[in-house]
Amino acid sequence: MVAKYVMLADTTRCINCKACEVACRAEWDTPLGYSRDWVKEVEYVNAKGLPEVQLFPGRCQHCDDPPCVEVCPSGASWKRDDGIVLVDHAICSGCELCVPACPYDARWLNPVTNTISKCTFCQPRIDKGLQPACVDTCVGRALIFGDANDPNSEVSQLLKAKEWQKLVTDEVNIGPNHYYYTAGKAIPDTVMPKLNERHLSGTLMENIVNPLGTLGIGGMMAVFLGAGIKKLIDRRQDVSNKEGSHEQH
Amino acid sequence: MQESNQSGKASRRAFLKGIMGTAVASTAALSLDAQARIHAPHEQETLKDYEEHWGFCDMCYWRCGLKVRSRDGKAFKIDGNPEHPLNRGVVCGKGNSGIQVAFAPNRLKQPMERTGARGDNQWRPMPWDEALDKVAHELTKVKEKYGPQALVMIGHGTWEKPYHRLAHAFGTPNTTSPVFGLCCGPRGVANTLIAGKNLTGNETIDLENCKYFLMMGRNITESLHNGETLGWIDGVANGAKVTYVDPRYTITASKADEWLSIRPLTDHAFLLALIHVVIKGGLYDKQFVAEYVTGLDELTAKVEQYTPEWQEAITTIPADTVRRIALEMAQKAPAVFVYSPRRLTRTSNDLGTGMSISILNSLFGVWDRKGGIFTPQTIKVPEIDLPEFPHAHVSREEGHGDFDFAHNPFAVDVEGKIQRADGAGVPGRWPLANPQYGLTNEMWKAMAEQDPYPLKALLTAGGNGFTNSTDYDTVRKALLNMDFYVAADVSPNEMNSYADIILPEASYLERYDDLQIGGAREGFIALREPAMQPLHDTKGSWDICKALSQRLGLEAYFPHDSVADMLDDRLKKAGYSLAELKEKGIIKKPVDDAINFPREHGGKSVFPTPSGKIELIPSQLQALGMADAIEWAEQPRPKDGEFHFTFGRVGFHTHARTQDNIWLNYFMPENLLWIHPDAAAKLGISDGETVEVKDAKGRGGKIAAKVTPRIRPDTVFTVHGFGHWDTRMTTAVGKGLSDSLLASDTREKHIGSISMGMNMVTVTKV
Amino acid sequence: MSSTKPTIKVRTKDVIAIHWFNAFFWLTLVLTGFGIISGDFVRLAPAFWPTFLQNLLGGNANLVLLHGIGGMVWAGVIGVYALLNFKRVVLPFLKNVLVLTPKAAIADMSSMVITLAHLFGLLKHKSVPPQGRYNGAQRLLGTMIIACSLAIAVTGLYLFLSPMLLDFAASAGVLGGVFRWALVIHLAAVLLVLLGLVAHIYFAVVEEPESLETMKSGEAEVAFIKHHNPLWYAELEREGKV
Repeated sequence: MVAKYVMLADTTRCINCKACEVACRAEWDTPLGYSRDWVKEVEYVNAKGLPEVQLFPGRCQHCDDPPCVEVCPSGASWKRDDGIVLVDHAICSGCELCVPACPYDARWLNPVTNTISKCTFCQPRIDKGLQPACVDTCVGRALIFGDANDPNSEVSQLLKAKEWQKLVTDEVNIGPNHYYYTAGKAIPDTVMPKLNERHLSGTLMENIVNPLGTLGIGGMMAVFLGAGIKKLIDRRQDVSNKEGSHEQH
Repeated sequence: MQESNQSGKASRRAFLKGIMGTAVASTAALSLDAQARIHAPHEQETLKDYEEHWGFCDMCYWRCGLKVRSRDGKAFKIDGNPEHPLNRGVVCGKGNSGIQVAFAPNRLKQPMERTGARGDNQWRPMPWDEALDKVAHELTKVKEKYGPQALVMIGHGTWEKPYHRLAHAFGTPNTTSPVFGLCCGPRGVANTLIAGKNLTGNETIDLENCKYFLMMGRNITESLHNGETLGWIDGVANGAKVTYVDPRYTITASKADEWLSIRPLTDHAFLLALIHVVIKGGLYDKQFVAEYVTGLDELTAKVEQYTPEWQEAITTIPADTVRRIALEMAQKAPAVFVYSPRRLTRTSNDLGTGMSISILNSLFGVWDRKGGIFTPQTIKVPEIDLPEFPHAHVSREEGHGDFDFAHNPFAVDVEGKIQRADGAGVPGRWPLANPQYGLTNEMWKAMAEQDPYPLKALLTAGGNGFTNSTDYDTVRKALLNMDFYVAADVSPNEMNSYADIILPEASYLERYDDLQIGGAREGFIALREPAMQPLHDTKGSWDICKALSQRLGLEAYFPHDSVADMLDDRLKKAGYSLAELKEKGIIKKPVDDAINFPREHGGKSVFPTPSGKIELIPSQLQALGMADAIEWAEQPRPKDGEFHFTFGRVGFHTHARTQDNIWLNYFMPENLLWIHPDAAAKLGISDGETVEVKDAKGRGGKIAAKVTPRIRPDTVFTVHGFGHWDTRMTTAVGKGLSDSLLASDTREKHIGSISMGMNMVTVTKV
Repeated sequence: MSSTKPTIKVRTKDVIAIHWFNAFFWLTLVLTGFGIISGDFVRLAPAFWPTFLQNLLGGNANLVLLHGIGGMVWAGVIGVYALLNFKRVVLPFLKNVLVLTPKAAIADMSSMVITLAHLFGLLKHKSVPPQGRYNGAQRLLGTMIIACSLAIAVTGLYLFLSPMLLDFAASAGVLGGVFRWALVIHLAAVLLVLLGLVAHIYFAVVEEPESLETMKSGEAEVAFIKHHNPLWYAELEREGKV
């Protein structure tokens, strides 16, 4: 059975020490000013009037329906059978159409490679049987990674043992494979995914050029199909008329 | 003709059919196939090869075990050594950022001599031989003129040891490390007085099995030590209740069941009331007290007055809360722990606070019990054979090295020997202070005042006296008083900008160092080996000290050809070898429940106090006439318009030494002043606005405000370590406000350690 | 049947070669182009097509390479041919085919509408105004193809080369933005041409197979010209070619 990789973040065990972020930076030589992963610290006043803090370690959610794959013109953005969403750097042009497509803001143009960078679940590491760098280093062991299709894996056991949530809303529900445990606390809006304003060019292509092109070519084909059929019918009539006249003669 | 006509017609008809078919098919395909994903071959990254080297961390003083990965001769990733008991394979953000200590472009890259005024940062690069000759020459000059005690050695790092040895061999008792006088001293002294064990260092707490943590400002998730923090998180996940006592709602508070926003400086009052309730209510472990504890009656009399109501007026914590906590803890004892802050240098009576914590833990009988305090396993590794040191305060014990935090011979006085200038362990001065680590705060004063005797040469190994202390004027004056100052360090900072000679240290990724010997549930010896060749013209501390010892006629103290030989020699004395240590980077003595928790296995606890028992009223303290230390001492309170000034840590900066690390600076380039919304509203301050913070002496500066309910209205807070002004620290310079400017520099009255929390400040909108 | 009727030579071999060269590359480039575009949101071809082509070539990088090189060969050959034969071929062709003024456009438009209407038996009372060498529809299509081909060549060159040669990240999003717009223009231009090609191919194959024949042999039936392109016929008469 093909693996289905998932990431679990037990937010009750996260302490915002940034180990995951630096480990990722060191492992993949991420240029300063960018990061493939993050920890969001959300503070608010609860119903009792007391301050509260929640921590959300995050990264690409490796969605089942990844809009970043759907908008990529060249197919550089792709999804492996085991669920990992990757960028093929040999193809990626760096056009950034996928950047605003991601409602989790997980993608950015890497100034060193001039291609799109993102979390790969440390695909080169897991292909060698290692854990992702962020999981390996996580001080609170808040991050747990593994194959949800393997019933004996730690993630499968944990998914059964606890109530996990996903970062989804009515507006954005694209099947993320990143789970969060908050001990029953509601996830604040600020960490929820948001639809970004897409690039006008991409929207134009998606919503105007392509439908118009399809309609236009379809229309033209229909028109000339009609013309052809008419010509056929006319000719048949011509022939039968001629045949009829033959008989009359 | 006919035929050809027909065939023409047929082909045309076929063509039309074809068009029709294509149109229908493509329209259908377009609509049906729209959501399908392309499945095509792709190029995928593969993991490039690397080598692994063992180490232990130098980013803070917990010293996690490391596995450093190198590629093409360059270290690029720091992993945890999964075998190491202090971190069990995990490494924090700081630990991961060690790469940028080695690769920092502004590192100290070659020996340098000062050419401008002290602190002006004008330097002349010089060859190593010239630098070492000059250091030896200048130190000898000072020795000849003022005696060997005129040399002060201040270290702060995991590689400071050879400098202590060199200074001791040179003949000075004046070696010091901020770890005691500026940090953990009072709690170690308190525990040692009461239980004969200092309990600091590796924090020998059975965190995973503890069921109740009373965290006395121990911000364990942000002032974090990987293994300790992970153990605590496991304990909390295992169902431990957490009561967090701190004026500030930290990340640790966010993990707690209850946050008690105590008035700053009043922990002692809260703890005394807890002792009162525990004793009066008979909530203590009677069997343990009967067998192991002395002084309960005297203590009962002393805490009679410290009722929960009395403390409420001081701490603002409701009296009933104290009663409830005492009860809750008693129910879960002995799997409970009153958690001291790591740094206990705040009030005029930190000793009293530390003792109260130690007393409470003892009353709950937590010693040598599951979920309480365990007895560590240790591996004895003898020191190499060395000649005796010529002064009083280095007492070398089997397995404890040149200097030892655990060994605390209070008030050593050996006739004919030179006493320490800072008064640490000196009868009549600061007899409780540890003479191995000394009182760094008092040492700076002694250097500034040239009292009790001339101090004319300074050797620093890491550290930054300005930002880890609290009085810039004293430190500056001390530095300007020196005839000669040599600084050994990896990175530039304000203190070493005053040096006459800078000796550039190899980073901890480029060198061997002496063994790490520790005691946790498992005993262990860990290795630091180079993960790459030095990137610059730098040397390790042992090599530098050996080279200096040869020039000072002290080569007998550095008898080996190389540091690796020295390690092998030490290990062989313990029955191991360097080759064996290199296999896993660590040699361990396994967990043994009978040793860790003797009282769970019919064994006895051992308390190496004069009476052999827990002394609730310590006999050594009585002998020194300081039995009043347990009594509450009034602490300052802010006047109208003033705030308590507090400072602390975040999980991704170590003290004042990582602000210039580009990977860590990224997360927090500058600090903010936390102020409560009520207080901010009164002053017309909104979130993000710049404010000016000032104390009564007029010290202070500008900083942006973080308006948050996560702090008491009478208190302000900022993260420690910002406000650097050394222009060589290109990333950190000029960012944020230094808390060291605003923290108090008064003394703890019994120990002589610093009291940093006594200052009040005003805040005004700019 | 056609061999019995009088014909004249209206096209030289090189022009015919260029036409079929162009047609062949259009076919290849459209097919590969539709194979490259992969995201479901931006794709026109059904998924089986890009999947098939990308698998065939071992990944989209190779397909892009093929399409890019093919595109450069297409633009290069036609460009060089046009330069070398500018006076002899290009200029007369442009003169005949380009629709530049609104008046000409309206005239061509109306003749095209009438021609199209006739296909469906409409507007029978109106006859198509006399046409030159290229009729209104052809002129309009020709103009559009020339404009679109230029746009396709320029944007295609940018799409192919810019990711290799330029630093998108350093341009604060400008070069990437140009890329995204180039993509839209490239695709829109291709779609426009394809629209016209439907008509072009229909007429060539169904309505006027004689034209297709001419594009093979270079010979046109005089009668056909006289019937379809009276103005051109007049011109040929004046020149004494018929």
